[in-house]
Amino acid sequence: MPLLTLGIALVNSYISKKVNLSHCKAIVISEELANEGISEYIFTLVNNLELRPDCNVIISRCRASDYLENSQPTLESVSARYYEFTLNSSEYTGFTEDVKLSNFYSDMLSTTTQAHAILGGINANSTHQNHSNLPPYDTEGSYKADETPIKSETGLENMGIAVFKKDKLVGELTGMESLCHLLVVNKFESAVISIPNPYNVDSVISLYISYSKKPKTSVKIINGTPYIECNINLTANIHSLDKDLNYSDQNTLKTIEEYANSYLEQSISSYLYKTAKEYKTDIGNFGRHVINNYSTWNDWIESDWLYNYQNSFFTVNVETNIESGELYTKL
Amino acid sequence: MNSLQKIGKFEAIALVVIVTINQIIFNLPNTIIINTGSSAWLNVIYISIIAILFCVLICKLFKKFPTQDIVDISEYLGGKVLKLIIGLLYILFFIFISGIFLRYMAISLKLIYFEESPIVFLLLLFLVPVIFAIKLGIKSTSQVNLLFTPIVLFSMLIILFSTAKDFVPERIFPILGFGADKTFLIGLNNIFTFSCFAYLYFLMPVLKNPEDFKKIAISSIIISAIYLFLSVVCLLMMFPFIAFSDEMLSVYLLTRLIEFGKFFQRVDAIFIFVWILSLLSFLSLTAEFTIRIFKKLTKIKNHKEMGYSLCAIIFSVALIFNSISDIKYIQNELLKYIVISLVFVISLIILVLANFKHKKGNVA
Repeated sequence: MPLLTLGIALVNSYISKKVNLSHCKAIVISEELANEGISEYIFTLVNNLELRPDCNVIISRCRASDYLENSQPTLESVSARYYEFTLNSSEYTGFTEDVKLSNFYSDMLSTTTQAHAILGGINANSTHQNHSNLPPYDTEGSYKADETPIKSETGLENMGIAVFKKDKLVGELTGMESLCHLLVVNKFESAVISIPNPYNVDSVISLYISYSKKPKTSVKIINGTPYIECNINLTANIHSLDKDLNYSDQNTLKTIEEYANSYLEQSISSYLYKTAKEYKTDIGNFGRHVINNYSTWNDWIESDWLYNYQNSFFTVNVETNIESGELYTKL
Repeated sequence: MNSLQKIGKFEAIALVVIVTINQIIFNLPNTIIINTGSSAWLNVIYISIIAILFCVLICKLFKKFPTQDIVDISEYLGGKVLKLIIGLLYILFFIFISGIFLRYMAISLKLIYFEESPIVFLLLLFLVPVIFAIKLGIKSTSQVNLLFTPIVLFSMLIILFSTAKDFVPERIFPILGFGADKTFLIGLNNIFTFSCFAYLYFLMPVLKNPEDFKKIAISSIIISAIYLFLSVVCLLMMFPFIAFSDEMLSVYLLTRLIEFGKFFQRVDAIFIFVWILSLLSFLSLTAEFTIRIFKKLTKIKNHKEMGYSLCAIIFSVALIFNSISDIKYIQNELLKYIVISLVFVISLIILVLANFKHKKGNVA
């Protein structure tokens, strides 16, 4: 790890000014390095007085230097401010999480959860993915950073979550999986999602969703196996408008609600099983719902929650309450 | 003693509370958490109850000696020899903790803001005002302290409540932490966090109304306990690694996380400033008590001139510690037992025996 501090010293000898990390807003680490383990780097960064604990941790799908070179600020002259606001988009898209250095560090050392970070990349024609084979309602959230077929000046894209096991990167979540993650861990603000149109298989309905009340999670250990139940309550407004649909009709709304519930339950279950069975890492901090069952630290450590999480089974219940359309309820 | 140099009820409460607040700033909650783990909050409740009971007992024992401090009571019990021993022990204790706190703050300040300044300047920054405080006397120092203490208390509340949004309440589990024995048996050692009792022993002669002693003692111990509890709970719920890590200033870590919207960020400098005031108060009051004990032992007339020598001694003690690891070792391994033996055992024995002697004298 002396490489980081030595690197800064070398830069200081090269330029006429002293590099100061006080205004650092994002730490970009390449996926390649993250696969090898980044605890040493994170510990050194956390120990740095100049660096603030609120700077974001981004795992870049490309080389970190490429990420930084390509992320030129647009509509903002101060680069620190640019990063500050760019990463806030998760508040209204839900396609990634605003992960701070302090959270990453805490999660990495926690016995109830594992670390995760923002997934970033440089969007270019060569990295675009074509997901036209997927149903239309699944397309938008199926991308990870750098895959979205968008033409942009900067190319910077933060979408998805980088999943860690201890200090090593073990997997990536797509935009929709990230949204499901936020919904489960009570960090969701609002987002627009697409669900299948119950009255027309070829089209989708766009819903603007937010919590109606805090999600509830319960974890029971049955014969040594964790059984996790998530109850999520949402309120929604319909953004899209269809001439065949009447949003003032109770039956129509009820049918859409049922479709929304079923779609979200399926998506969230899929995300949860992916973390448990494929990545074997609890990034949802479910361990905190179990730790109170143990009376001493030794008992808790012996239970090895972080290992046991892979045996988990999940039940997800989503209750969506559709309030209205936007300006029109019927055409 | 000149009645103009006597202090009131609130000044006395502030005097005792500022001692605990300084201990909280200088990583005392972290020491408790390292010893007991996630049960630190339970341990604080436990030792707080014991401290309050101890306080009630002390108030009862002091009832027979309404204008005397522990040094006077020692003289009453064991003559000049015991007075000299107890007086010297308390002088050494006060100089020792002043030196430790001073060096700790100076090192922290150097690390955070004054990386290239010599440590000597930072030490003098604190000690020069102490010399002036001693010249002005306990009344002025206590009044200034009464001005600072609410600011310090309020700033601590701001730290605790503004970080509350990131609390994970489940981090206070497992409820017994490193075990029931570590929480309640070995954890009893954490009573040393109430070293403010040392100041209570010297409060009686400086009080305007000694009959307020009980109210002052109990109120200050309860306030200290509440702040200790809040700071421990806050650190536990905030940092999952806190039971296994060793920070320079745990509370400073909290201040780095505080932000009020996007506009007010990096407010830690304000808290450091408040803590500087708090340490100044603490050092001035401790120096004042030290000189008073010295005056009692030597019966010198112009005791205020001793301020220069005392500050020079505190300065030298502060320079003894080479590194934070020295201070941490002393704080965790030595100071704890010094406080327990001097403040909670020796002083209590003296008070109990003096009461017996008093009772015996009355009967005879």
